Amino acid sequence: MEIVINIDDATPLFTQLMQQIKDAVLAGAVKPGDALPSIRQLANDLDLNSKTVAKAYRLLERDSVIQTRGYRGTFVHPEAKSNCSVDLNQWVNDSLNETVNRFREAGVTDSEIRIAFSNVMNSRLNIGEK
Amino acid sequence: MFEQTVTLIVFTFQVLFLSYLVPLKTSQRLDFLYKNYSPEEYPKLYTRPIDYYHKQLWIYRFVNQIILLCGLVLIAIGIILSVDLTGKLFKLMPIAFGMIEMIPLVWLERMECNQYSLMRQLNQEKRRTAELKVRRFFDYISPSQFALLPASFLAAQLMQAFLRDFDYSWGSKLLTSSLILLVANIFLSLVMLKKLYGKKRNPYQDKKDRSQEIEVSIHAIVYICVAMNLFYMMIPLSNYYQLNSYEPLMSSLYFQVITFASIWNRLKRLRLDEINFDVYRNDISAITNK
Repeated sequence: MEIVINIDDATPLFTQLMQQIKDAVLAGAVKPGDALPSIRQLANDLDLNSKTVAKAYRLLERDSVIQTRGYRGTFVHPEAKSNCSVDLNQWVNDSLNETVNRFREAGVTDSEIRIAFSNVMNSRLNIGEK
Repeated sequence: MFEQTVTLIVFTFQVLFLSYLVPLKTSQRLDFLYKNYSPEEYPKLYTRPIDYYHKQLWIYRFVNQIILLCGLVLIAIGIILSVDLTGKLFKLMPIAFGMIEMIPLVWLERMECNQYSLMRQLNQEKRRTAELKVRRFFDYISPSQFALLPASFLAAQLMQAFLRDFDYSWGSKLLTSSLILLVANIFLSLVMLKKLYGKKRNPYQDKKDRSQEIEVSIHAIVYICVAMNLFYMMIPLSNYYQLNSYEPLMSSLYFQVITFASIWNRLKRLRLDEINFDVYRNDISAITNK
């Protein structure tokens, strides 16, 4: 199974990589338990920064599509096929869309929404720092 | 007298192999490449005008001919003047001459590195591909073949330690040679890992060709390490059994073995007619990694 990325595409490289790996899982080209190339190997083969590949792998692990087993390497998650259809980014977009629409219906202005969103994000950041 | 004759014969083989046969095969390979894969049809293969490549090939042939001539003169001196080639003065001659013979090969390797570097700079491809498959070391060499490396290393270390009374005191010959051997083996092992997991030097190379090149390189490095370890074992052994007169012969054989394991093996196994040159065309439909 070959990964193909286009460096001219508007889609971020790590997103392309994530999608390609998910497509491979859904197509059955890689099966649960199969080993995946290391971050270094994939970064070198695609001539990408290893941080780009690391980010893709981190997000795939968050989505339970892959799992890292320390020095033993990275493997396809046992539930990868069902987890591939869960798109966290899409869920965030949909949820925010719904919430913003409700605020607008209630008469809240866009600038008030932006200020409130910013305050919430900053307060989360402060809690995180503490 | 016997050692003198045998050393002369082996040194003659060294001169003919490294300064005649290897450059001949390399030149023929490059000639074939330039004649059958023109810059018009395969523009991505050439980063400079074709004249540059012809000129470099001419220089390579010329330098090898000079070295060959020097080698033949040395052999003639050995035969005509009956110079003792096994004596202390000529002990290092096969190694020294072998290093001179390596110069054109090192130069060629450097040219290849520059070529790939330019290819990467000029590469306009927006699509990048990689296999979603782990590259494992033992996919390219069998464990039994690889086992020769640590086995020969341990044998060399044990032999040296035994012959030098296990004297690992600071500054001792044993410690120095053990460390040199260890560092050399580690260095070559790292080169192997770089070949396996490192960046693709040639940005257009077909994945099958790359896999083949990795396999050939790993085999070559393992055999070079084994030869090096055995050589390190033979030298103190020859000293111990007072066979020092055979040292020039062993040095010469060592150079021939490492050249055979590396360059000759590469020339024979990476056949030009099996390489996918379509990747160097400009035609997009022809650029497929098969």
